[in-house]
Amino acid sequence: MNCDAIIEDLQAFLDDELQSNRRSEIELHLKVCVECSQMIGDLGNLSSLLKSCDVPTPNLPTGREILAKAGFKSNKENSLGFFHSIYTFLFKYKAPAIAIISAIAIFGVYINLSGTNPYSSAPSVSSQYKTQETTASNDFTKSASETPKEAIAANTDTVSNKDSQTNSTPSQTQTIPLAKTQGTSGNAGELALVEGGVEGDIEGGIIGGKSNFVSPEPPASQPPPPSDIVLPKKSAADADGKIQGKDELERAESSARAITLEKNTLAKKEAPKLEESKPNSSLAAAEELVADKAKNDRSDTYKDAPKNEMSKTKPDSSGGKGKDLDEGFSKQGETSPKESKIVAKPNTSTSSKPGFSPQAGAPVAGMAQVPVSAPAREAEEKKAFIRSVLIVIEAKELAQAKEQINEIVKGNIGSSTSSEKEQSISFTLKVPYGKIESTLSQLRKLGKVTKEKSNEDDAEKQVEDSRKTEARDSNKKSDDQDQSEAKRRQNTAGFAIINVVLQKASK
Amino acid sequence: MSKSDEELMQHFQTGNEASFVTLYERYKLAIYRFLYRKLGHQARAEDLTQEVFVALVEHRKDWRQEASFKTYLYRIAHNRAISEMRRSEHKVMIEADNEANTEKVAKVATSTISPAASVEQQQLQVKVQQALTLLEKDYREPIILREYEDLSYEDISLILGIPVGTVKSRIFRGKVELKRLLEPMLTTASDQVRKPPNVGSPPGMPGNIRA
Repeated sequence: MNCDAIIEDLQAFLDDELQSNRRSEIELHLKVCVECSQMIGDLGNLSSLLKSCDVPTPNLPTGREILAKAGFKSNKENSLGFFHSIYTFLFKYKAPAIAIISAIAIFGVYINLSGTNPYSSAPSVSSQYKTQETTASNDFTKSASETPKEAIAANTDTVSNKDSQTNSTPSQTQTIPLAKTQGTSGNAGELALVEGGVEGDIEGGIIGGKSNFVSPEPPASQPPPPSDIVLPKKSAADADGKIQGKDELERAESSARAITLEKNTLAKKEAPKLEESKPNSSLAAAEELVADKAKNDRSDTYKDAPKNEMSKTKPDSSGGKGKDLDEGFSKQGETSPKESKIVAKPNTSTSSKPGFSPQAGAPVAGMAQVPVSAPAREAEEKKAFIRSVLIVIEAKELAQAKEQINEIVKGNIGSSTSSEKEQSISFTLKVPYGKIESTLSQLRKLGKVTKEKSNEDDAEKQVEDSRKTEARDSNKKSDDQDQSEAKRRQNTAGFAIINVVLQKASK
Repeated sequence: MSKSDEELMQHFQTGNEASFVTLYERYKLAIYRFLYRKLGHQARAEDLTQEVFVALVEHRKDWRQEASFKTYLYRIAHNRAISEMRRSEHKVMIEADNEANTEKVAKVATSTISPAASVEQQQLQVKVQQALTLLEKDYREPIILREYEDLSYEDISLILGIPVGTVKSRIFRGKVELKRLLEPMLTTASDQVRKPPNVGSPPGMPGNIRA
């Protein structure tokens, strides 16, 4: 073995980095090779020399200082890191931190508030609608004491919501905002300013220019007024209404404008056929305005305005079926009967005033003839009478019953809306008036009927009550009222409302 | 019973401060010496030593126990030194301050050497340091790691990223070069090391070699 083959391994031999066999070879070689032996000696001395050389003593920080410099956080610090970081952020950036925290708090409150009423089905409905709904359901609540209030409220809510959407339901719980009034000054504020989607425009100051109720010369293409509005026949008797007071007349005048607007909107929304919807005379329009306005004036807000549309019965209900879905509101119609008869006055104005045709001189006279004592009632009477029924059924399977109800509605050419709860489902069915009985009979077969109530029964009772309260009035007035009531009942709306509450039958 | 470097590092990875402090105390001088001999400048070596351990803290999660902790630490130091040498004109500074560094080394060495041998030892240490700094980087680094840090060839290969055979050859050639540079002193040093006066073995003989 020559030296060149092992010389580079000499250092490794010194460092003991060679394998055993290689080490043995080198040892043997070193015994016979002087130069390699000398080299190993030199390498050893050099290593010793190198190691004897020290370095200057350094000035180094401690381990903790190194950790701090590196931003090291121990486990304990990490557990509080979140709060520590929050504190640091707030302390360092006060203003932005406060703003951020405030924004988060406000957002959280907003979410909280928006999520408080998950069952609110009509977020756009104003509070007055809800009030009307509550009142409207009074009858059903009273008569159906066993019915869950929630179901009724939901049912009514559904009805009202539907009303608010269509502006054509019997409940008429919503008031119709006045889109614009031309020629009306100051009275605009008296008109409804609520949600409800006013579509009607008041043109030329004629409220209801597009409505069959008001305009003495409705356009031919104009749709018939909503079915929920009772349109009594305009008779000479109506035209002979008397104005009982100037103040009342003024109030009725403003009410008339509101009422006309409401009707105008209703007319656009829905135009079911009405048996008697012939607002040919401004007198009739005026009477309706008076009646509607009277209802509006019953309450400070326009909560009751829709009720006017329903036109609860007058005190006398001879022969008629004064029915309204929201019977609860009807009582208010008795409070200011005089107001409804003041509509006549607006007729004296020009065409700029809403609700009156400029061409109709008759309205002036006719309106003046409207009796002031029961303007609201008359307005109600003239509206279409809408029969409504509340029926509470206990069914074993709610889902199955729901399907059956949908089939029934379809079969009777109706429509329905529903709201579901955990143990009950509320439906609001709208069926043609002629189909109400068949629908009810089909519904009764779905399960056990625990409650059934119709507004016809209450209407009759109310008529009697109103008759008693007005017993002191003149006989003629009573007769007129009776006739009006009868006419109203005869002027049934083209559809009926059936509130169905499906309850899960208890085992 | 002291924990191994790997155990301490694992504890440190979980957030144990004390483990890092222990590791730091174990290796801070070694890293410093390594960097000092690599750079030839005390201040730079001190700063770089701190940077090495700061980097160890910041990248403690990167150690995956594939290599020993010592190797991992020296690897960081080696990379930092290379970056430092590239960033500053280290060679120029070394040449320019060679005399100043020599004096500094001499002064420091004086404090650790007995007054009797201080002059010769001082001169010797200065010469050695100069020889190291004059050595090529490729030769200097493995020699420093082997002679001063007692790292195995395998660890050196991992630290420097070169094969074991390359480490062996570079160490040998580097030492041959150092031997040439320090030839006059080798004879003197060997004489001083070998002194007991009764020993008359010629220098360079295997019997005189101290491993």
